[in-house]
Parts: sequence; structure tokens; C-alpha cells
Amino acid sequence: MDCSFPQIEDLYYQYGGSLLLFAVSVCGESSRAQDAVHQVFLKLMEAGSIQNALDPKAYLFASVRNVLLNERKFRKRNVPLEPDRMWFVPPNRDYAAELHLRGALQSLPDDQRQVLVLHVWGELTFSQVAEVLKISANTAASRYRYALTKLRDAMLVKENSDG
Amino acid sequence: MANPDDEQLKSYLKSFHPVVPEPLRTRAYPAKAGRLFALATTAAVSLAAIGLVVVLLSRSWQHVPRPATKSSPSREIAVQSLNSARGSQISTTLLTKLALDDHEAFDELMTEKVRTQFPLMKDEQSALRVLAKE
Repeated sequence: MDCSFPQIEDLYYQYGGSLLLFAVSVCGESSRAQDAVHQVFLKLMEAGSIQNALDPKAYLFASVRNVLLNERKFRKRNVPLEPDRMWFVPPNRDYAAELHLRGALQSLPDDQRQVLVLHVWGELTFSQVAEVLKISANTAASRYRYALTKLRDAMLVKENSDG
Repeated sequence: MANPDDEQLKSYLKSFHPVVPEPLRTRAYPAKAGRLFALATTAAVSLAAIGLVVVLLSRSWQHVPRPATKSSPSREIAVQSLNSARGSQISTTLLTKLALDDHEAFDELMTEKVRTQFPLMKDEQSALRVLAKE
């Protein structure tokens, strides 16, 4: 798929937010996540096309993941998720709810969190999630169900402890 | 089959919008930036070339010998010097200079000199008449 500069820009504005969220959910650092997303788009601009990509959206998420995984190989360590950076713009400026949700997401295992982010905020189908994470669609669907259950529990526990 | 609780939770989660990333940095526009850079370079080179041509032309014009005007100092000096030398031997250098600087003045002077320095032809004592009588 050939992409002109405005088309790439459109892709950036369309998927930038969810790509950034996905990147943060993978690496745990906002700055690294931002760099990874930028790196993908810069390479895309240099190439001028999304080569051999049947599904550009899934391709973008997979590219961000690959950038972060390659970087992780060099760093050889996992960084704990940042507790103080916002991941979301909360509805009605409910920053407590944002903190609550972020904490619940951070409590999930990495693989489940990534599937949840890709499916809910990336709006990827389970087939696309499977393509990005190189797992089967069934695995993606089951991880999603586990993630939702754990998330609900984590949020309820937090609400009860707050109450 | 989708669990209604799951769908409810999903819609709640979707009400949170991911933070928008920072705009792509300037480095993100290589093609556009390259084009702008090429345009700016071309414009600068063109301006420099035009400037160089103008400077060279103006210099070459300064070196072209221009005919002296009637009020030019070189002409006046030459005419004055020649007038003062009237009747006596005229300096060849001054004549050459006048011929190069001002053709009109040179012609005028030579006409005058011809009238005064060559023997008369029309009068009673003209050289032609005397020779004819002989």
C-alpha cells in the first residue's frame, strides 16, 4: 500500500492515541512509547509505503511492538510501569477514575493487558490481535476474557477498599 | 456469546480515550523539508550568480574607454594645451590623446590647423597662383 505524506499523517492522527497506549502497555514508559510510535511513522515516511501489509492497522501495531521488543533486547531489562503518567483522558475529567483504571490495567499480566488494549482501544478484531502478537485468534480471545474478569475484580476491589 | 457484563465493562472502558501522542517532530517531514531545502539552495545560488554577473558587468563597463564629453576635463586640458601651442610645434602625444579621447575636438582642431598652417590657395599670393605664373 503506497502512502503519501497526508495519508501517513491521517494514520497518525487516527491511530496515534491507541498506538501510544499499546506501546505504554508493552514497555511501561511514556517517553519510550512515544519514541517507538514516532520511529514507526518516521520509517513509514521514509519508505513511503506500507510494504506487503494487507492490514495497515494491524501492521502499525505490530511495528510498534517490534520496535519495543528490539529495544528491549538491547536493554535486557524490563522497566516497571510508570505510576504517575496519565494513559487516558478520562470522561468528565474524572482523574480518580483514570488512576483507578490505570492501576487495574497495570495489575494485569503483560500478555493479557496487551490483548485488552488492542481489542478495546485499538479496536482490533481477535484475528488482528493474533496477527500483531503472533498468537492464535483463540488464544487472543481467551486472554481477553481473562483480562476482563481480572480487571473487573481489580476495579471492584479498589472501589471496596476506597469505600 | 458475549457476556452483557463484559459488553458493559467494555463500553465503560471505551469512554476513556487514550492520551494523544505529541505531534511528529520536524524531522518527520523529510520529503517536504528536502524540497524546501532544495528550493532555498536554488534560490540562493541563483541570487549569487545574478549578483556576480552584475558586479562583473559593472566592472567591465568601468574599464571601457568612454568618449569624453564636451565638458570632460581631459578634453579641456588637451584643447588648452594645444591652443597655447598654436603657431609652434604641436605635441604629438597631446594630439594622440585628443584623438583617442575626443574625435570631434580632434577633427575641429585639425581643420583649424589646416587653415592656418598650409599655404593659401585662393588669394593673390597663393602658392597655386605663384606657381601658375612661373
